[in-house]
Amino acid sequence: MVAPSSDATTTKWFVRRISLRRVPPIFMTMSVIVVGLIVFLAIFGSLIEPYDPFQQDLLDTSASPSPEHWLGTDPLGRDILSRIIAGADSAIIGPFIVAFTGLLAGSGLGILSGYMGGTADMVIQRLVDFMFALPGLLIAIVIVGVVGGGYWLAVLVLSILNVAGGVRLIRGAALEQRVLPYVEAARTLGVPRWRIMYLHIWRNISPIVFANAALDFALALVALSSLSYLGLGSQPGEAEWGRMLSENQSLLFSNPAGVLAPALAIVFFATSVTIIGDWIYDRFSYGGRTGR
Amino acid sequence: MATRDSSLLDVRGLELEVVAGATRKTLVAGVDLRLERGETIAIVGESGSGKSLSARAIVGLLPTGVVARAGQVTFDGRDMLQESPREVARVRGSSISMIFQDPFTMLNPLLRCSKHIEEVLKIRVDNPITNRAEARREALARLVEVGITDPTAADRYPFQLSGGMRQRVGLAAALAGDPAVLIADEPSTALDVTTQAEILDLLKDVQQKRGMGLILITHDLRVAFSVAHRVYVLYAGSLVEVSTSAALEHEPLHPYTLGLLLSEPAADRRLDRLVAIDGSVPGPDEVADRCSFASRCEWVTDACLAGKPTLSKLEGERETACVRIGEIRSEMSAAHLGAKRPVIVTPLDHQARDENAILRATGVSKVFVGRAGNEVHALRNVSIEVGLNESVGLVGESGSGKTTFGRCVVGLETATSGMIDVGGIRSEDYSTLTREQRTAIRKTVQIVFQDPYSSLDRTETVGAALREALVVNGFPRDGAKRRIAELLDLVGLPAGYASRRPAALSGGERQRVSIARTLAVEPKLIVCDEPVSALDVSVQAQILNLFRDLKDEFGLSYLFVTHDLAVVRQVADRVYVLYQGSVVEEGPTEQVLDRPQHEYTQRLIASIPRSAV
Repeated sequence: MVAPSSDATTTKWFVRRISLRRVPPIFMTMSVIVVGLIVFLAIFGSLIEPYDPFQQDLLDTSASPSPEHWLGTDPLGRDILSRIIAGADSAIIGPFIVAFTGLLAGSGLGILSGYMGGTADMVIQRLVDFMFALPGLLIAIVIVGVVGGGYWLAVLVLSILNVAGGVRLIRGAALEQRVLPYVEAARTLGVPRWRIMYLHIWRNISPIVFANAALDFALALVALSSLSYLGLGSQPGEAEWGRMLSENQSLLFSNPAGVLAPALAIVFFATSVTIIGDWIYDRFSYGGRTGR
Repeated sequence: MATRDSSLLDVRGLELEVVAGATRKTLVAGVDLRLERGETIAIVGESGSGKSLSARAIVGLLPTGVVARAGQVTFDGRDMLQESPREVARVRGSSISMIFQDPFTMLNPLLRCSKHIEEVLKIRVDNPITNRAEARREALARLVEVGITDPTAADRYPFQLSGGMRQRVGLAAALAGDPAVLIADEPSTALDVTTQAEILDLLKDVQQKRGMGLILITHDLRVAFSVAHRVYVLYAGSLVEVSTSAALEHEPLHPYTLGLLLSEPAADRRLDRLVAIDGSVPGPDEVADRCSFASRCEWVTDACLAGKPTLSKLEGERETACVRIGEIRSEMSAAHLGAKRPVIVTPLDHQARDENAILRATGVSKVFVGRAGNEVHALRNVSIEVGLNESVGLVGESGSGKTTFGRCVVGLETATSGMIDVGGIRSEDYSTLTREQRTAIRKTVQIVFQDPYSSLDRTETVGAALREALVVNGFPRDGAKRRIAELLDLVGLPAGYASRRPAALSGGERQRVSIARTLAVEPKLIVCDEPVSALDVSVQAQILNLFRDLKDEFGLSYLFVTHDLAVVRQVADRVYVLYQGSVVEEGPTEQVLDRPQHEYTQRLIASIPRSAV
């Protein structure tokens, strides 16, 4: 049968807008609270930690939750709650660096590739192809494992491996913008190329850029935690959620809260950031090419 | 009203609104429609009038978020608004069918043409055809009904057909269920002029042969008059006038209808000044307590603002929502007749083009090479000249290469061969020009695009867009603010618009900003690529007047690329007719439009919609 077409002349933008998938407000509120809390802990955590997160108490190891230790203690007698609070900063800084590198390099190379086309596009895209062919996390495991590990090395490797996806996504978005009349108008007006690319086009695709960065952030958080869990990321002793997960594994039956807490911290944080990214996209993208 | 009961379709008090969270916005504020058996009615309105939504409400195809707040849609003794979606779906396609504007997305690209029809034949409620061979035979017969006599066309995929053919296939599919009512939503708008006329004739023909009820939705009164028996004029979500086509064309009885008729650029004569309706269409909620047209009406008084007028009966079958019709009827009539009188034709300067033509293109060809290595000849050996302060029309259908030529002139495309001389800078290949030469060309020629929605960067304010245009072309930064105000003033916008973003502007206003942006460069020639075809008629006239004023004020030259002969008549001094990449006719506007020599031009002119009477 004949399918309905969108009637651009009569359907107003708001009709289209609400037909888009929207993030329910309650999820958004919860996500903002979660992210806000974790950022707060990363900054002011050291002031409110009930105990020194690195202080071992070998007389009180693997303790269950109690009024003194709300989440119990780990096998070395360190307060789990304090360690979770102390882990907030590494949960933010590493993923942020990965996402930010992706945002910068992705925008820079992606727009260049999409707008200029030709040789620049060819070279950048073959590079991206090459990076896509590499199994990211596996490479990270190998490199970090061989070189000897460390949080910052893991962040560096993930930052580089993460760029490819952003470049491809942003290239696609830039390609779409490049043929629009506002870009052509700027060209005929003699607006410099860099200004068209990094002012006009970037601003128009920025919702995609930021939503992608949020997604990168969440993925990097999970990837860094995985590496730490495997003992490749953060070093023994560091307060990092992934590492805590492996260190506290032995408590699974005696003190489930002590193991689940770092796991839930990772899950909630990653989910919240993703939801906020979705919201940014819904809120600021104009749905469709014409922006009506 | 005895006739009401026997009506085929009866819509009463239909109100539609869009609900987004806690906010509700009225889209249609009370529409009554009546369709008799074997009758064609037209719903006419500009964008935002609610004409499409009203029709979609009948068949339950409202977009997500739009709901009927009140009203009844009586068809076959049942209220369609109360029936379950499943029941409405049963009626849709079998008893009431719909075809849409866009022939390019209406068909499933994966299905051969006859399949679209066979599918409906198989699932229709009355007498479904389950036998494949039989369905196929019937489908072929249905294609013949819509004028596709070539049986091989049935096995082609939609992308292998032209827009007109696709619209025919869509129509055949819509008719396959033998509906009692067909709703055609702007069925000819996306098509070329010559095809447009064919499709409208076909619709009329099919409607008469089948004795079917037809609801035509259109923004074009000329189209409505040529097809429909009766016309419903919709403005800002409410009906302002209902009348038979003939009576309405003879004498409109609502100031809006009059304005719409007058602002329609005439194809057969050039007018000294186009009658435009100032302002733009308000939202239904803004005019809930008064006459919806009051803000733009020249006859407005306190009575118009006192309450929402309803349709009142006049002689014959005429109804109008104008409360002052008794007082102003003779005045309106005079205005209408005044516009119909052969108005003084602006004397055109046909003297030979200046020696220093602003644009001289000789032997321009453009070949696009497709992905598969296939060549598309967009332009073949085209030679076009534009003199100083001359307005030249470039007319042709889609695919004629008219837009490609305009793009070559401003350097957005590079011609494959040929010479383009813009203001003394000759170029065979734009990409080999020096920076200085490009700058010189840019300062001579600028372009205004068709789509007012995407030709401005929606993230920056109007002021920022104009400032950029000024500054990159060497205008001192400190004087920019004053100049921006001047530019806005030139195109008839208040200086305060500098701080607005495009989303806050109407289509006409955006197009004014685009024009202001080109003026920032102070060009001598402006390439206008269908600059008014995306605008409503009432706004179209405003913009065409603006183009004319600017030409006189600054001695501008235009290359006016358009498919619309009426527009060409109003703005062009001289016309080139482009057909499949070649210029087939050239000459002064009057000569080409009144005494076309080439067979293609004659066909083009014959296809302008005219009323049936």
